[in-house]
Amino acid sequence: MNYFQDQNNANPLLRQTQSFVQTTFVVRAFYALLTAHCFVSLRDWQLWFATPLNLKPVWATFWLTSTTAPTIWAITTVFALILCGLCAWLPKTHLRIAAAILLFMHFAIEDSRDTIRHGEHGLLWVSVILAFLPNDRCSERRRQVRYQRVFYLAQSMILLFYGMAGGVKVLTAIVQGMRGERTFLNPDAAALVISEWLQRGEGTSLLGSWMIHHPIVAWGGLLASVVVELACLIAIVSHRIRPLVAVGLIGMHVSIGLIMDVWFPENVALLAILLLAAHKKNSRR
Amino acid sequence: MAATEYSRKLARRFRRYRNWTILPAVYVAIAWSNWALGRVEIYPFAPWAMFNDVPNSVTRFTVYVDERDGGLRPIWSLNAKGINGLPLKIYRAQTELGRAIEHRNADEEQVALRVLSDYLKATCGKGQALLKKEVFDPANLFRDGVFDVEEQLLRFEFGESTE
Repeated sequence: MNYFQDQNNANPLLRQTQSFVQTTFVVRAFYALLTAHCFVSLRDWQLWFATPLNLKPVWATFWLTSTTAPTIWAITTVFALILCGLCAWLPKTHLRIAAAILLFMHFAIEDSRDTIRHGEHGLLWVSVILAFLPNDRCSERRRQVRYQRVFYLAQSMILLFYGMAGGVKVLTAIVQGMRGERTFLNPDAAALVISEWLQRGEGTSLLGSWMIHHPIVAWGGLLASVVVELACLIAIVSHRIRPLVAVGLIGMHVSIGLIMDVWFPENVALLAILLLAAHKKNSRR
Repeated sequence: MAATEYSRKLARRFRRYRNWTILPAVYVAIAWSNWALGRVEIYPFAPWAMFNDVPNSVTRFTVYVDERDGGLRPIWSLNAKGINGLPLKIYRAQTELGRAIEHRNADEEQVALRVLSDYLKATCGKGQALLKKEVFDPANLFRDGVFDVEEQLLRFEFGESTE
């Protein structure tokens, strides 16, 4: 049967099946992204043999010592790579659960080495939620619906993270405003944030210096990013604006990279896969 | 009318997904309660507080290394990657040392000083370093290179003594 034969989406059951099939491809693409991420993590392989490895542990890695940490780190990275690769190929629930557990430990050890890397949290939480997906090789209608709902939760979680970022900016602005300090509503706000960030380093970003000398342009970008982040909270319930929000968020990430030299390639790929590629033109959920 | 219809639609959608709202609610409660109380983030519950604070005045402690020509070189410029190559542990040790000196906490001062001395010894061998407290408006500093307050807190030796 050709799932994509009915171009007019006249049959709701067929439309549901089309949507389900599209989602299964997106889930596989997500696991391919995780595989690529684990593959990039292999660049630190020399540290696996460096004992002792000093950690500043998060709670999940308190059981590791400086001598056992490199071995566990190597095991979790390699097996997470293999399992994520398998999940991209074989739609098995137990593989997804095992991948989520290994990724949890892998990211915990990576975060214990230096500082918590928030860019990876989206990948981790989506993998945890997708562990609850039923197998996608099933024809039962109810299981297809359950599959879509779990996927919908994963999308919502990502939107929630960005919505929280916008919410935190608004809450901080209220507190700073009550103290009589400058908030993000001040036209100099973006220039201050950028220059404070660049002062920590050498100030070598591509557009950072130009933005500091043109604070109004930078401020416009800051306000736009807050609006897009808050729009994520609306996008949790409104599917129609998701592509727009996703494009806005990707633009925000690229801009932050150019201005502040902070790059989140995993997040850009995650947004492109989870919100853009998974968008259903005629969704009526 | 349209608003009523939309609110009904939202209510229907919430009823359908209400079991799934537990996880996000727990997430937000844990992440934001920690953030509001100023506690350390619990992995993997991030509050997503990024670039939210508009800096009005920044206080920074920076270690400078004496150069042979009499100049001062900031610690983060000792490696090719600049600040991105400076371990976070060292970045924090500067602040911990500065605060320990200001609060007259000798134990914490010794710990932070040892961390910095070991790093400097591994990076430059031996020499002298200076810890400075710098207070500045970030935009003014970037545009004009002017600190509001610049105070020398501690001069120390690292590696083998040069005297």
